[in-house]
Amino acid sequence: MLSIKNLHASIDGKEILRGLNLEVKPGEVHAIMGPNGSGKSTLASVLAGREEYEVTEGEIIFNEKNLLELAPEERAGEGIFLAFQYPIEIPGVSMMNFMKTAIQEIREYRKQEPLDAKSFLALVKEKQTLVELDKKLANRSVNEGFSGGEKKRNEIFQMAMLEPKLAILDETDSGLDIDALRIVANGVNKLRSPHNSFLVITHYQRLLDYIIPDFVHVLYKGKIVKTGDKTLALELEEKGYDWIKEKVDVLN
Amino acid sequence: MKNTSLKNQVENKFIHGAFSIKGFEQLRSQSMNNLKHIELPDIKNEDWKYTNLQSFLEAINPDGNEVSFEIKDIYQPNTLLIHNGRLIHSTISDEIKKWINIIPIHQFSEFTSGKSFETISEKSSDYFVLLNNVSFNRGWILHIKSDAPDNISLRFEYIWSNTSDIIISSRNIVYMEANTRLHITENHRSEEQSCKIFVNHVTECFLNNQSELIFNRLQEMNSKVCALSYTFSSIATGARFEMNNVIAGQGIIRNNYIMNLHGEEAYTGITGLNLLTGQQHTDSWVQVNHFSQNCNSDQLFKSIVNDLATAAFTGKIYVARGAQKTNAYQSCRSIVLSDEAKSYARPQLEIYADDVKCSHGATTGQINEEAIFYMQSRGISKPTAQRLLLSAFASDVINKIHDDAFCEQVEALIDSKFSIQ
Repeated sequence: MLSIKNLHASIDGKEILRGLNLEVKPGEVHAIMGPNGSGKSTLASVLAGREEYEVTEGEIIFNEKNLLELAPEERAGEGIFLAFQYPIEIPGVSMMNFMKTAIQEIREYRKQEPLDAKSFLALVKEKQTLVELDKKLANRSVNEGFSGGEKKRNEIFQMAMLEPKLAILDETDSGLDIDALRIVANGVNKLRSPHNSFLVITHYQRLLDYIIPDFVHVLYKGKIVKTGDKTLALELEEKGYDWIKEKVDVLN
Repeated sequence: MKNTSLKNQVENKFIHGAFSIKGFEQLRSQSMNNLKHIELPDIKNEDWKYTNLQSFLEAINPDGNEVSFEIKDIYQPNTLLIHNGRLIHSTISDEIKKWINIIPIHQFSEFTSGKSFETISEKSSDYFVLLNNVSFNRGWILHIKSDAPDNISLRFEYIWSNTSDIIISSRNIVYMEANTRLHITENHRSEEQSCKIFVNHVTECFLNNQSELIFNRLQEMNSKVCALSYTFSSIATGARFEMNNVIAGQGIIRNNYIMNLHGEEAYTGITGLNLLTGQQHTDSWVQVNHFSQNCNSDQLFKSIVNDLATAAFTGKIYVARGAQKTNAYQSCRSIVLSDEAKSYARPQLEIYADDVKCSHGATTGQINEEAIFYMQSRGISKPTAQRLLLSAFASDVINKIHDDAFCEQVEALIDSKFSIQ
């Protein structure tokens, strides 16, 4: 589904990703962990198509398409979704209008018939229940005045609405209390299927108690330096990153 | 020296088409006298620092000819067609005619029928108001009679056009008896033309006790038009005046609003939405005078400025001694979309009472790129994302305009003027 080869990316002339390789198959959940500044969020931004990042080398193939040639909205059309670490407030644009526009434009990209108003509302209702999102929030402006937890739940709600093939969760667990974390994780788990995949970027092992990953990767200095199964996350929780850092630094 | 000769030229051009109107003799002679002592404003004048009219006034060369307008369209009911400030066609129903009187301005004495009548403009010392006082030769008086039903809605279609340069000086009076309500929509546009048009238009609104006037105006003229408008109002006890002004199109537009709150519980709300592209220049100049206690006022101006366009705003809140319990608010916000676009804001407060709530705020910013990316990541294309953001920016102004057709027109203008590819 997703194949990243020798990815190098920089921002403002500073290289952040330095030869990253990653293969994700349908149905898999990959967790990306790593110390601060290792390039986790950069990877998420590059996948979603944030303009500030410049890819200097390597390739990203998503379902046989060269992702780097596509605009962010085309990537969304292809089935990529990024749950933001810091969701953006958009005063004056209602959640409903925002979601309706997104769904219609994606359907247009996929050459599907537009969704009629009744089906759209039914979909909203269904997905709201899934993430236990207050109905009132749908009538408000996008993320405006939402609490931290509400913003993150709103990200998962949007993900549920758009049904992506690959969802990237960029530190969705940061700033969440344990109840909100459980709700977010439940939302993700209900959306898991043999056809779609998740890339879960996180600092802590905690989220992975709820979203069980197939693979855990450690990102350090812009490269994946270690890959394991879910036990690697537990090991990191216990021992921290220093032992991995040392190993890598010695090798270099 | 050059300025003095330009001043003489301008005054001659204006006064050329003037004629004596019964009831305005004193206003004319007094203003003529005052004009002698006032310079033609240039950008050194504080009130005119953002708008330089001199080059337009220098270049315009009226030959005194004015073509008549051929009525082609069929207008919806209760519409008045105005060509170059003259009423040329009306579809007002007989039912409504019972409650409103439209009298040409040169028959002013018919309206006053011998009683003394003070204009609001006679207290102004603004150069172009004085010039209008001495020269207006067209316009009308709109008189809303007592006991008129409270749902009267009139549409004014303004067309500014000619085949040679022209200077137009017009005067309207809206006179609302106590307890009346009126909704006015003005739609200003110009014909495709190569000649220059300079408009100096004064509207005086008299709102007697408990009356309510809602005045929506859309100005969509082309680059050959320079339009000055002055809206004066005298708002009595419990009366409400809402003025909503949208500027699109091209050209130079300077709108002045002088709102006088004379009675307790009076209210005025002035909103402006400027949708500017090309080399368009707009200057909104507001003065809200709180002369009485317990009055409220609101100013909300928003501009979207692209290309080489300029939006300027000066808003003054004046609270007289004794005008306690005043609530007066003002907000001016702009989004600039290009490096060359300009937005100026100048809030002013002059307060002589101690128990008042007044606020002002002015911001100028750019489109939120983070919000654009956020929407793109949800599959929304960049042009649609920008359109959503701009219409969100304008939404609080649009929400104040309770006229669906008008709002739709404005939304469509935002889409067409700022669409990116």
